[in-house]
Amino acid sequence: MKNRPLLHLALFLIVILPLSSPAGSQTGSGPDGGRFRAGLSLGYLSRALGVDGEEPAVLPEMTSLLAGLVLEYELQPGFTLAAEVGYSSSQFKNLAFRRLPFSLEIDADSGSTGGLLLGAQVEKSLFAGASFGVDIRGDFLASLGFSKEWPLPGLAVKGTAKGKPTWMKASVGPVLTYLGWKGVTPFLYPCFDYLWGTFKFEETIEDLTGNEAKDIKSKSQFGIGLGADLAASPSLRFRAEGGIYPRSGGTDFSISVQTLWAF
Amino acid sequence: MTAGNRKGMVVAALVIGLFAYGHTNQKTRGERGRKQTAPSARREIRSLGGGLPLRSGEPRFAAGQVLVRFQPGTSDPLIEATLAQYGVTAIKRIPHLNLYQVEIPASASVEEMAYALRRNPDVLSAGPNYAARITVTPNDPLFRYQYALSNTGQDIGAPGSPTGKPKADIKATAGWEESEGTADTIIAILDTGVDFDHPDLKNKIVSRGHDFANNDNDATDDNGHGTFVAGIAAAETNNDEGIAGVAWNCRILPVKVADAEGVAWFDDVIDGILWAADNGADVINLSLGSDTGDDSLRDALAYAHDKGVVIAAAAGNDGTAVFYPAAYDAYCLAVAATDYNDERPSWSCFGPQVDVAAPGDWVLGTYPTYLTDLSQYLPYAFGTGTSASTPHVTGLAALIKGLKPWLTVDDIMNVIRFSSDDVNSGSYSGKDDYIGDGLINMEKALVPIKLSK
Repeated sequence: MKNRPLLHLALFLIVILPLSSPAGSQTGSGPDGGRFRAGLSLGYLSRALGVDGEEPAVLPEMTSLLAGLVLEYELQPGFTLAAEVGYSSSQFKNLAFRRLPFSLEIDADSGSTGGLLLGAQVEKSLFAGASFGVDIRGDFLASLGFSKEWPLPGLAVKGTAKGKPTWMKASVGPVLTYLGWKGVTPFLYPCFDYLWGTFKFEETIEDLTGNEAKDIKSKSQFGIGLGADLAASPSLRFRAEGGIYPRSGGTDFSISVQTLWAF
Repeated sequence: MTAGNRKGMVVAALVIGLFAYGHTNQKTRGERGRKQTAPSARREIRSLGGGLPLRSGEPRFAAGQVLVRFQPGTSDPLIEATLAQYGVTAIKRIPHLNLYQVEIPASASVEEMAYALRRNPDVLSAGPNYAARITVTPNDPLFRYQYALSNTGQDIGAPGSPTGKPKADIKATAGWEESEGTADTIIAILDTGVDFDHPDLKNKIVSRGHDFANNDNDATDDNGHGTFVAGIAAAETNNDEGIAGVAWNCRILPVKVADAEGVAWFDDVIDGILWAADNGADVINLSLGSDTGDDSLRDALAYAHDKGVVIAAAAGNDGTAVFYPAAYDAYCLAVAATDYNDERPSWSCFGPQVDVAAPGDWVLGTYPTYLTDLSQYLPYAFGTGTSASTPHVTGLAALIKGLKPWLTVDDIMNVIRFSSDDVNSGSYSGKDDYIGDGLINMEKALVPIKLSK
C-alpha cells in the first residue's frame, strides 16, 4: 500500500506518544485504574477525496455512517485504550473508474457499500490543572468493505461490476479539556487527520473483463474537533463530538456520539 | 504482379464501386453537369455558403435584446421608470440578481443601448444577451447535416431531402464529452487515397502514405471515395470549416489500395494491411469488400489484429451475405448500415458476421478539392453505403484506443459491440444478422456508466 509509511507514523504517534508522556502530567487522574467500559458508538463522516493523477472538475466524496460496539479499558488513571467493532455504510459520489473496459462512475444513486468497521483509540492525560487539562489522543478506524455487485445498465449483453471499498482513517493530536464544570467536560481536539484507502472494481461482460484498484485519500489533513464528555452517573458516560476539516474549496466534517457503561 | 495475373483476379477484387456510396456520389457527380435541375444534396451544401468556405452563421447574441442588472436595492418603480426612459420593454426578470431581459427599440443597436444603460448610476451592468453553446458541439458549419453524429430530426440535406428521427444517431456529442481523441492515435484509411490539401483533412494527415495501386509513396486520391471515408472518421473538427469527424484529434494515415476506378486488388489490400500495421496504424478502415474470400487476406488481417490494430470493415451493399474481409469475424468488426430513422436499408449486407451498424444513408463526408468545381460546390458530398457506416466505427475505435491504450484489440471490439443500441429490437431482439449487436453508441462506449442501486 502506498500509504504504509503514513500508517506506521500514525500508529507510532498513537501508541508511543502517550507512553512517553511525562509522569507529572498524570497528577489530575482519578484514583481508579483497570476499569472496563463498554458501549455503543454512532458516527458520520464526510470527506472530499483526491485520486492520484486525476484532477476531476468535481471532487469525489465519501460519506460514511458508522455504528460500533466499543470496549474501553483504563490501563491507569488518565490512560485509556479502546477498541471498536461494528458496521460501516459508505457512500461515494463522483468517483469514476476509467481503467475498466467500460468506465464506471459511483454516485449518490449507486447506493452505499457495507463494511466491517474496526477501530482503536488511545488517550492519555498529559496535564490536568484545576480548570484545564491536556491529553494526547490517537484514533484509528478501518472499514473493510464488503463486495457489492451492480448490474451494468444499457449494454447489449448482461454485465456486472463488483466493487469493494476499503478505507482507513487515522487522527492524532492534543485534547484540550475544560475541567471547571462538574459532570460536563468540554474539549477541543485539534488534530492531524487523514483518510486513505482503495476502491477495487471488477467488471465482467461475457468474455470482456477488467479490474481497477483506485487509491483514494482525503483532501483535508488537519481538523479540529469540539465535543463534550457528560458523566450522567459514576458508571455512565456520554460523549458527543463534531469535527470540521478545512480543505481547499470546502470543509469536511464528522460527528459522533458515544455512550459507555463502566463495569 | 503481371497484367495478366491482375486480370485473373478481377472477379476476386475488392470493388469499392460496388458499394452504394457510389450511388449517391456518382449521382452527385452527374448532378454537377445539370446544376440547376432537381434539388440535390450538393446544391443544399452549396446554398449554405454560395460555394465559398462556410463560417458559422449563428448569432453571438440575441438581436434586439439587452440584459440589464440594477443596483441592489433599486426600487421597482425606479426600475420601471428607468426602463421607460430608455424606451425598452422588460421581457423577463430574474429577481435574485435584479436582472432584466429587455427588448430595445428597433432604432437602437444592442451595443449602443447597452452603453447608454451602463451610464445610468442605477444600473449595475448592461450588455448583450449572449448565446452559449454546448462545448462539445463543434462549430463546423456542416455539422448540422451530420445526422449520423447528432440527429435532432433535422433535414438531412437539401430541402425535400428526408428528415431524420431525433436521436437516430451514434450519440457523438455525448461521447465527445469524454474524449475527442488524441493525435497519437493513427487511423489508416485503406482506400483510394486522400486529398492532402482538403481544408478539413490537411492538418490531420500523418504522411503521404503509400500507394499500392500505383506503387509509389504518394497516396493522393484519384477517385474521391477515400477522401470521403477519411473525413467521416477524422475530419478536422471545431475548426469553423466543413464537417466534424468522429475522432476529432486522431490522425489519418492514407494507404492507397484502390485505383481511380475504385478497384482494389487483393494483393494491394494485403500489402496495405501489412504496411499499415507496420507503420503505426492503431485502427484500419476497410470501406471495401468482395463476395469472395482469400486465406492470405485473412492472414493479413490476423497479422494486423495480432499487432494490436483494430480493424473495421464494411459489410457490403448488395443486400446479400457479408462481404470479405468483413466476414473474417475473428479479426475485424463487420459494419452494416442504418439510416436516419434507425432502420436498416435493404441493401445492407447481412449475416452472422455482422457485428454492429452505423449510419450509412445520406452521410456527409469530405470530397477532394481537385475533383470539385470549387466555384460552384463545396468539397463535401453525401454518400450512402456501408462504406459510409464503417468510418464511424473506425473513429469510435480510435477514440477508445486513445482513451484506453491498455485495452486489447478484442476488448475494444467488444466495447464497441456491447455498447451498441439494439435499434431493431422490435423485429429482432438481441444480436441479429442485420445490425449485429446494434447501432454503435459513442456515449455508452466512452462515458462512464453511472451505477445505480
